[in-house]
Amino acid sequence: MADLRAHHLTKHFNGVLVVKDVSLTIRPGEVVGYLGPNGSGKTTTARMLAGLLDPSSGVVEYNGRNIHDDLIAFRRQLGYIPEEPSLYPFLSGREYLQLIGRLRQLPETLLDKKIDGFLDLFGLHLAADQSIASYSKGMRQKIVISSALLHDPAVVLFDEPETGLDVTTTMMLRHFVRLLASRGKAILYSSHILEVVERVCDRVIVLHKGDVVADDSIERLRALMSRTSLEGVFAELVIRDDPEQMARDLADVSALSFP
Amino acid sequence: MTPRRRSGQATPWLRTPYVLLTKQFLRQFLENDLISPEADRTQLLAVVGALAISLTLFISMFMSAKFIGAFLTPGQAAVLTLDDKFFYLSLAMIATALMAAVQWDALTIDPRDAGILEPLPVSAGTIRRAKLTAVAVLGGAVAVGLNLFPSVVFPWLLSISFPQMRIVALPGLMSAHAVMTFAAAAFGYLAVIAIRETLTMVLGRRGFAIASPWVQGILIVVLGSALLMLPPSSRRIAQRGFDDWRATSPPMWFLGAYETLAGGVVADLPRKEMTTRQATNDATMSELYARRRPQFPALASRATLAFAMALVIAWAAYLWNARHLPALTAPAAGGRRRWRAGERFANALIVHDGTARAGFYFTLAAMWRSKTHRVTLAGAAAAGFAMVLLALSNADVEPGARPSLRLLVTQPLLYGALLVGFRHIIRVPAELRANWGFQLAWRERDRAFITGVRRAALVALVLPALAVLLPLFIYVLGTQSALLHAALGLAGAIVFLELLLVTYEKVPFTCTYLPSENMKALVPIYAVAFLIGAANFARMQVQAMISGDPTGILITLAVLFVGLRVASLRRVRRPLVEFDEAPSTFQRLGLHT
Repeated sequence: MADLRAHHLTKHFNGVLVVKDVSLTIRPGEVVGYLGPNGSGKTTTARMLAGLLDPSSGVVEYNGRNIHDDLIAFRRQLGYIPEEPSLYPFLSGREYLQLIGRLRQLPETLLDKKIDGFLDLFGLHLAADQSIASYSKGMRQKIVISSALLHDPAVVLFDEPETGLDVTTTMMLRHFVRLLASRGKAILYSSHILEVVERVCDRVIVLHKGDVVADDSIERLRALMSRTSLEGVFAELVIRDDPEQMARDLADVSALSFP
Repeated sequence: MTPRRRSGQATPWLRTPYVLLTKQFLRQFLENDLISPEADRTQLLAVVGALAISLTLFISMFMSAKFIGAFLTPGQAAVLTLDDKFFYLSLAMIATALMAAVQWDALTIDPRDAGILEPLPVSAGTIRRAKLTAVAVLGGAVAVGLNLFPSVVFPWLLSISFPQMRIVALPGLMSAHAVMTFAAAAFGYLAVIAIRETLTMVLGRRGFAIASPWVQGILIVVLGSALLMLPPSSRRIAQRGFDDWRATSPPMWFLGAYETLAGGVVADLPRKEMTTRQATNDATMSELYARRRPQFPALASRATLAFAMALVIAWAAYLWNARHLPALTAPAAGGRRRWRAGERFANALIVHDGTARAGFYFTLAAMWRSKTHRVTLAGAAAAGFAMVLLALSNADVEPGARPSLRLLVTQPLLYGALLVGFRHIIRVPAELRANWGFQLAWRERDRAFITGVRRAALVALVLPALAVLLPLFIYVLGTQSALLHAALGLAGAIVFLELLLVTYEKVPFTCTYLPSENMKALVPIYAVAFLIGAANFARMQVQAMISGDPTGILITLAVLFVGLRVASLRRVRRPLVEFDEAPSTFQRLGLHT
């Protein structure tokens, strides 16, 4: 098992700095939480780590090698669950998993077993042969999670995986992430839900406007910031405005009426 | 003093929910042809509009040029113009029907639209009226675009030959042409809506969801073939008559109505001084026209009845189906499981490798289930069938006939058109946003993937094309010769597919679409090369079948195949799976390029 390391990743889009000098390491058996408000660069970092997006500067290394030296070899070890589950709407859930499994060259009998297993466990067996166009967001997310884990990857990048999932599946997912880590997988878990990150992750990286503002274990961050919860730490690091005042302002805007 | 309205502030009636929704629904018609929401709708509209106007102007000028300085007599003109009128009426009818068939799913309120609009404080009635208005505006715009210039140019150039025609007769002729072509266009449009809505009513939304792609595909093939067959079938209308099956043809009904309305304007013109030859011609043609004339009122009655029925059925069925806004319902479960036996068969015999299977099944799914790809293939099939019908119209198709070029060429023409359409659709992405899955799972096994894609084309396009024509060949040539012809056709299709894919370096259905910049110049060259190739291949087949020895043609095909495969292998292939930051030129599908 090998580390996934990012060195000084920076990304510009049309001159706008989205990710600024992010360095991180994800070790086997470790779940690294990746926190940040909307637009802080979490998804962009995850896509760069997956090799889906070229960084403007910096490198991503897996097992000591730049992933772009042999992207195919890296992706053999990678599972990626994106935030927005875009899938081929005209395929059924089963057909999509078959497509991905076949492209990954999994043996057919093993692939069938895995697909049936995932569909059963996610409660999708009845909808397995319906087109994805008719799936809810949660159902699509379950297909995406299944497709990312079909090949038993060594590195898994979860980019807000709980989006659209029901409570039971979200709870199951937390246990599953821990279990994957206990089996030696290196995991990045990007999420808005601080409670989940607090329970699941060994370490958290907090991102704000493209900058890493904290990178440590949750316990140490709590101690350093003199806070009792991760929410408190996050508020201290990232939230510049008073949430209560913002809520009052929003309510006032909503209540504006015609003179 | 009344305050002046600020620039950019719309008048209040333009901001009513009804108008805003109508505009939104009209915009959706344009987006049907798009593969990116960032595409420039104005540019697309301008191109389509300019194309329609310039094409109809050119056609009407080209067709009416024969009236200038031709010294036609009224009798000759009355007979000759029947061909032109039949052409214009058929063109209006088929083109608008084809437009309705292409816009098939956008003709009614989409469940997703209903899901978005229903929670808003807009009544269901307003949503329905807006959709109906948008559908009517689309049909009206197409009908006007098609008929505006011919309605002016054709009667005007016709009248030049007849100075004895009264000045007031010209506006009358123009009005009659405009009314009848517009009615024919409306009939074609309404007929497609009537078919769609009646099917929805009878089958229910779920049943219709299953039948819809097939019905749409068949309509596009039939209407597309009819459109391409129009020029040769618009000749000698008066000489062929209006009896038997011709009396059941909708354009003939509207031609009857046209002649009832305005046929006498030219036919009954006072005769000027004529030469003996002209007088003889005029008498012959006037006699022919006079023989056909009593049939026009009956045809006109049929046109009126058919129009009324199409209007009533379309209107009633549309309103019946729209009484409840559609809900997002899941398709019936298990519908796709029935193909498991076929999947096992294909896995055992056609595609063994995993990546090839991915290519095979993904191609089959994208071809039939992605609307853009299905419509393009239906268009290719229409072109193929039109060429087949043209070739057969002059072929000997009696049982026991000798194999002839005109007969045998139908096979390469049909599968060739389908494979050319296939070559186009693999360049169009199935869903750009879903490409990330492909990218992550891709193992650079593009050859294996394309093998699956190629086999899908053979199974889903070539074999059905051969099967469709096989009964005709069995009827004409006998079973043994027909089977030999089919086998040679399959071999020819394999070589043709190899030729089409020899320069293809991308991963089918996944890459951003980039229209070839010089396609307009290359299309005629490719078309001529295709026709010459098909004719030569058919000629080789004729020789092989007459001599009973297919060795020569098989060796030729084998040599070609090996040569093409070697050329293909020598090319440096790179899996150019493009996902992000595509150049702006890819945005529009550009099927017209």
